[in-house]
Amino acid sequence: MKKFWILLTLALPVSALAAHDVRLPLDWVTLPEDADPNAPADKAVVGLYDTALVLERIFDLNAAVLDGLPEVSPESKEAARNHPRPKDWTPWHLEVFSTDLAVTGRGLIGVLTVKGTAAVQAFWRKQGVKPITKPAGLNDERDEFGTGAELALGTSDTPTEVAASIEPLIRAALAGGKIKDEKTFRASLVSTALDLHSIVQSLEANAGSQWWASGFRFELSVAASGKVSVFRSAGADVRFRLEWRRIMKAGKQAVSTPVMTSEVARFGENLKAFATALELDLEAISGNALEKKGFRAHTFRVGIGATASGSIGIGKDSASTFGHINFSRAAKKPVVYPHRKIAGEGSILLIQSRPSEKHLEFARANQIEVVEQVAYRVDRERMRKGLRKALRIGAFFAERGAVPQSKGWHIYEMKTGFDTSVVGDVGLAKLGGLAAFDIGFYNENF
Amino acid sequence: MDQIPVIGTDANGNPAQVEVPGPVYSSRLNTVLTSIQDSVIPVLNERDAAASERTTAQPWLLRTMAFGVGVNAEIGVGPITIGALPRTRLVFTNSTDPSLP
Repeated sequence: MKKFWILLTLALPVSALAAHDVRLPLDWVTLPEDADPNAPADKAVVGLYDTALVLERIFDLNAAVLDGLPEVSPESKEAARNHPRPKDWTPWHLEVFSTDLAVTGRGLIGVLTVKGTAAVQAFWRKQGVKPITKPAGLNDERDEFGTGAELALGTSDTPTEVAASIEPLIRAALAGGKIKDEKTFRASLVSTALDLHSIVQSLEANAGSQWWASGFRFELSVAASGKVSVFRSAGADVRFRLEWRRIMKAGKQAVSTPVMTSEVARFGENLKAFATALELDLEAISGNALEKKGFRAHTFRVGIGATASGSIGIGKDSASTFGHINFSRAAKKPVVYPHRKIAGEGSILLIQSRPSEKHLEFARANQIEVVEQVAYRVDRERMRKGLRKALRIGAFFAERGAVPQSKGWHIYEMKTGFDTSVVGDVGLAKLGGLAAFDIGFYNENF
Repeated sequence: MDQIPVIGTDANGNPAQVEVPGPVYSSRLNTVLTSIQDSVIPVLNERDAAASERTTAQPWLLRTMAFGVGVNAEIGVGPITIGALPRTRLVFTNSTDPSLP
């Protein structure tokens, strides 16, 4: 008889969980405002050691399966000899394999099946092939993105190039038949894209941080009337995703001073203040002892939301999030410890479109100011504490991935997704939730 | 203990965990990866060969292909069943210096 251990995470009490129960500490997955103060004491054994064993077992099995795959059929090598190829041509082969792990609200962790949000992603490549570029975007399927189109732009593109790049998207959207007023739509989309382009161009790197904003993503909603909005609209018929990528630190680029209207300039200033604050926060928590173990955080992606008055903060849920900012830092350079004290004053906004009364009460009880009923003003020092915790949790998984699994396939990058508390704490993104931000680690021992 | 925890949502949308024996997990993953690789690579090779034999200039050359894998099979007993296979993404390339998606 096949023997399966069945654990229904919500229906069964903790005491009924099987002996093989492997769970993460609850404070890794439960945000303080969501904790149940009346819940009975958790008697289950919370074992990071057991979790580590399970993770390493999963990775071992994956490596064994990957190593067992045949490399290339002889026919393809023959074909390579008979036909002229580009210089970098090689027979078709499997280059990247990803493993997604999920976490439930009770701290159960396991391999993710088809549905749900991944808390941890491990990207594998075969040893001997030097990673040239990271597989950014492999986890895009976690994003809730409906009908629409995606366009990547460069920060150094001219306005003419931006407008020309958008034209194919305009035609594709019009061909869908959902937009009634072509003239309004065309003018509104081009105008919005150029405004965002001006804002992105005007954001300079912060000289006091190793981190810089390396990418901006905005999700635009288009109503049937053709009017384009930067902010999410529940009834939008068509959506566009525009993404700007900055390959190198902006400080090394020639940054022009674009012409902006006062409204766009104010939005840009707020976005700049938000990005600068996070750059400094990331700088403040960098250089931790965990990096001695071979993994080094190199990317940080955060969802951005805005209040009705235009203030920018972290988007806590999908309805509040209209885009993302990616921060990067060099993965191979030595750690540069800040030589001056970084200001810890101030706060950062955490934006939630429909906050529960429980969350609001929790925020007030913890001296968190609620702004415009949708934004929590979180002290920067509290946010840094949360980010430090996120790095610790991410490093736990990264360390498991750093253990050599085989002679062939190895994990060369891992990403860990997190949700954010109204008091600045963090927890792993849960199966049915959304990652407000994620941290990427390169395996520098790959 | 050689059980691999697998997490998904059950028919009611609730988070659920099922543990499967390690050999079963390996066997299923191996079946999927082998079948996909055996199906995909010959087709890509044929496409390359056909493109090379054309006399007209080819403005675009296929270099990378990504597959998201999710198989609609289920495991578990009684009312609690979830997806049987890990969600994964496979990227195939014919370049030694690929630009990965």
